Amino acid sequence: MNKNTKDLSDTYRRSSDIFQSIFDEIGKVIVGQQEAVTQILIAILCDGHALIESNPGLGKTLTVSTMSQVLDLKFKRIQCTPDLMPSDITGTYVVEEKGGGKEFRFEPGPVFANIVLADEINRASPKTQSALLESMQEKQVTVGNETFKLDRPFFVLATQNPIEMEGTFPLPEAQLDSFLLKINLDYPTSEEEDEIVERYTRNVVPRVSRTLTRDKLLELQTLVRDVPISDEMKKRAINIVIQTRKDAEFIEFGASPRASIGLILAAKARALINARNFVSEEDVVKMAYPVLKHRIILNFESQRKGVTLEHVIDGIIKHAKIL
Amino acid sequence: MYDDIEKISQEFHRQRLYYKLADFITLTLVLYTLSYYFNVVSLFPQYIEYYIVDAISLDEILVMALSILVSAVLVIILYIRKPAIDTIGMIESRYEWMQERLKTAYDTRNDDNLVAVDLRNQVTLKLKAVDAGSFLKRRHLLTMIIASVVLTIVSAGLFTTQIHVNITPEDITGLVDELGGKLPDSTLPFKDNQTTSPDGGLDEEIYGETSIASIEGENVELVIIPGIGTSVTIRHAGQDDDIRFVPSQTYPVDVESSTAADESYQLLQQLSILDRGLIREYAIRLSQH
Repeated sequence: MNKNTKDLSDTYRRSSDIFQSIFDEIGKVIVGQQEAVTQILIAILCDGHALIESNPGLGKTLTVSTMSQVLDLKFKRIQCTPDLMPSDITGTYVVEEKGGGKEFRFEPGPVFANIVLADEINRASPKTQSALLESMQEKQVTVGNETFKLDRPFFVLATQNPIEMEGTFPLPEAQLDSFLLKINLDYPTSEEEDEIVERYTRNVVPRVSRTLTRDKLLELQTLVRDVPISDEMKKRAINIVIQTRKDAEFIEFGASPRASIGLILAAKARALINARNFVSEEDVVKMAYPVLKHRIILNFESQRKGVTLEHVIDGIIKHAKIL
Repeated sequence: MYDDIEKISQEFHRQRLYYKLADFITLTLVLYTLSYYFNVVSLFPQYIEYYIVDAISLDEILVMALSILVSAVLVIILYIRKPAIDTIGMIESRYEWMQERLKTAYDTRNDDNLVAVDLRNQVTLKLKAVDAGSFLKRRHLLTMIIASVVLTIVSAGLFTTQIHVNITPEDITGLVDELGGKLPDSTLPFKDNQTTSPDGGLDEEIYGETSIASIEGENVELVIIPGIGTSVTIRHAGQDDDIRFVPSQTYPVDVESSTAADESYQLLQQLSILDRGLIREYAIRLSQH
């Protein structure tokens, strides 16, 4: 058994404890939002990206920055505005004096981090959005004639504000497809809000400690893809995605095959987080919502009848079961 | 793991064979008992004189064979519609821990990675504890065995007491009428020496008065001559009947058969099988010299 295999085996054995300690550490700072934290971790484990939609002040930035501290990853935040340029994200060449002469030196942008929070991505211009989305897909940045590889793991968490849509540039459907999950953050409950107030109105600010190294995280990403899935569950996941293209009653456009890949991967990651060495039906069903939410476009009929995305996905999951 | 599942699968197939066999035996006994009770043997009177085994005539063997054949067909129909044995599904339904795990481990049996191997090892370990015998539907088998014993006793009783129900075609017609499915008159069977009257009755003699019909201006007699079938003979009117009974030369009608042979046969039947065999052998040898 070589060192890599031994390390991987060790990580696998300890995976349950590792996830527990991650949640415990994050829980020191973030009150509630258990589901959202889990989904962010799933997106990271799947080597994907996530889009968070929430009202302001729900702790998006805090959640992601806390996660980067716990996972010992480099974290950068981009506040998207209409005048944000692609070079502000990717980086640019600057003239530098060296040895009496001048030369160009590449100054990496905020995208050169492990976790990037693109706050209010729909406020950036389409050109800037494209620059970010290209780096998300390719995991590399091309400036001028040079291509720079991004550090692994690379995770982008983009946020959207569902209110104040005026003057924004909503992400096109094709670019939305680049996000593995769409996560919704809800307002905390009364008890949770009480706890938030209690924690953040004192002089002592909650701190977290590092529980995972970058290498361990990469090993966990490898393990996620190794989680076995039965043919039946695979078929179920594919049927769910295919059904989004068949439901002509409420859906204008369905999900792409990328959604099938995403759903199975997300289900695998969820299984590993829950200390299971197989994908269960529950994993597929639970992950269908965040995987499909941003990939389905409802038609006018659904709006007229007041049918929500959750209702449509509910119906699809039920229908896919009996296919 | 694969071998364990294969073994359990074989056991499940064996159990299904037991169910088939039990169903087949019970069904055969049910059919045979019913056949005996309703005297189905009377359908084969031509075979009554042939004995295959001592005391069992060919017609009885035919009824037995028919019962076996029909029950075999019924069992095939019954089981052909049943879904194939889903070994993994059956184990998962009984052992909660196995749910989803066994299916996944089986489907990914060729995957060679840490997580899949770990799952396989866990499942293999748990499979050792699976008791395939516990899946046997003992109640079903027991019911079938009890039914078979009861039916054997009933049929033996019927055989001993010679209780039969003789069902004739008239009984069936009566039953059909009773159930409201009165057959049209034309389909009712004719009795011998009967024909239909103008009002549809069945009270006229078929070999009665000669009817005369006029065909293309010529009168012809329509008559059925007794003993020559049921067809109509057409003759020109006025011709005399020339029907005479001619006794056969081969079998003179005035010769009566001797009862000696019959008495010898009766005596022979009273002897044991061993004695009868000895006499038969003696007769054969005598005929050869």
